[in-house]
Amino acid sequence: MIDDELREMFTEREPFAPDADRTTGRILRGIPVHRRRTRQRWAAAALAVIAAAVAVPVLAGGADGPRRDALVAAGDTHVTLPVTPTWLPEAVVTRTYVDANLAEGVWVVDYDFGGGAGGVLAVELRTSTKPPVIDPSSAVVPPTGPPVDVLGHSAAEYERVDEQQGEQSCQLLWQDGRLRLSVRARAKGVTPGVACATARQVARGLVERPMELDRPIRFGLMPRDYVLVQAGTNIEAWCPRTGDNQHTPRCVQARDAASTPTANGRRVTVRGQIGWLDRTETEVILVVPGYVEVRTPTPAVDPAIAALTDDDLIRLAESVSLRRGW
Amino acid sequence: MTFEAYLALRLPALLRYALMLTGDPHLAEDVVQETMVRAHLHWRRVQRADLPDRYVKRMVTNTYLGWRRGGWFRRAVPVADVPERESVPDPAESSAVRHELWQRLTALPPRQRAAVVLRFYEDLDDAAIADVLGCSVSTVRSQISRALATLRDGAERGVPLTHRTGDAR
Repeated sequence: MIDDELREMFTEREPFAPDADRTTGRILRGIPVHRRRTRQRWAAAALAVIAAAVAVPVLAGGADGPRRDALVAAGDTHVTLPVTPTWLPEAVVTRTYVDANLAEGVWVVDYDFGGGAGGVLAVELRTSTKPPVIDPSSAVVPPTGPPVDVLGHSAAEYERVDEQQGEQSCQLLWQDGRLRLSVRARAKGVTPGVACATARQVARGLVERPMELDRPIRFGLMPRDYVLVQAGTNIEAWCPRTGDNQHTPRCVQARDAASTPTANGRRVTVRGQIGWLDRTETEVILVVPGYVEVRTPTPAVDPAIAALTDDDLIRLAESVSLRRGW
Repeated sequence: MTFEAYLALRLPALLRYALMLTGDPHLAEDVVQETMVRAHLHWRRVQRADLPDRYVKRMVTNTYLGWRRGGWFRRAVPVADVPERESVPDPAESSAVRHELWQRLTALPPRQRAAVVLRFYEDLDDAAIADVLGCSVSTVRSQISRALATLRDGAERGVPLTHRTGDAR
């Protein structure tokens, strides 16, 4: 019986759970960091409230004026990776994954080969224009080998081998002016060192030429003055100009809901399909199974900030265009 | 119960649960760490919940379901000392069938995997699983049914495993 096999399998794996003492230490070290960040976020939100309180009467032209959050056509923002690869493993790319976080200055492109590139599963290119945030609670990893030369720059190399899965991954990390670059390769069922050899070859083939990234999911409408902060293969997020990331109150995020079966909330209709709109303590979520999920955080500080109505959310969801099969 | 007392009492079980969810001890540790740091911020709310333990379990599950690919590399800081890690389990120690089953479980969509773990590891009933996953009881049944069909089907046909990519995307 598969039920019994599953239960025995779980029991067998229990001894491999992480060490509780070490995790406790990481949690306790992480709390002050998280608290500090939360305070900064609330301070930013409070400033935004004050700014909005001052700006709304002016922009809206008084109580009879147009709503500040009236939806307009979303701008056609181009998202580009600052570099272009001239060499990739010779194989069909089964899927390209993109994640551009414009607010954080991080761009990621991940080419998936599905194991068809001589055991190379995927190659990930990542660039960042901001220095990494050092979180003392994070895992710390020193380079696993000597520095590697990448087009005259010294790159740190990190190799990781998962013997259980028979998988190896290798990341090269270096700085070029204000740009921080990373190339990571993953391989499976191949001789040791293949992932690192692939990562090095990809890294040495990068040229300084912007590469336009795909936006398979995109909003057609947005509240006025919103800007694109994240574009990805199955996510897009927009925020008010004052918002720093998609977790800021009033930011709006869309995800592909291709495999979402159903959801909680009030039944609504979006493009003739059944959807579920749920206002929780922390966010408003509109799920249209098989199509799209739109969500926006709800600020607890001031309900006046939650200016997006249910109708706004439905119109936003209806404006989302999806192109699958990437 | 204070946050510290809860950690001392329940953390090992949460880590085991996270291991079964993620299939990776390092990711399990990251997921539990992130969850508990947030739980500390809302500890009064956790305490007020009818079933605080289930509330935390729901938080762990949501953190896992929302975990983005590449998270480990994004969070890892390439400096300083290497923390001690447990040895990676030797597949030879498991029976071949259960090792294969573990790999097939890893390839399931995250929600199906979570439903299977809650049913067969945590021994929760459909209503409790629905509460943790935030969905209906019928959805839970269909998720588990589909997951078991996939696991059985793969085992019977000996279909090779495909690498799990992007299911948290």
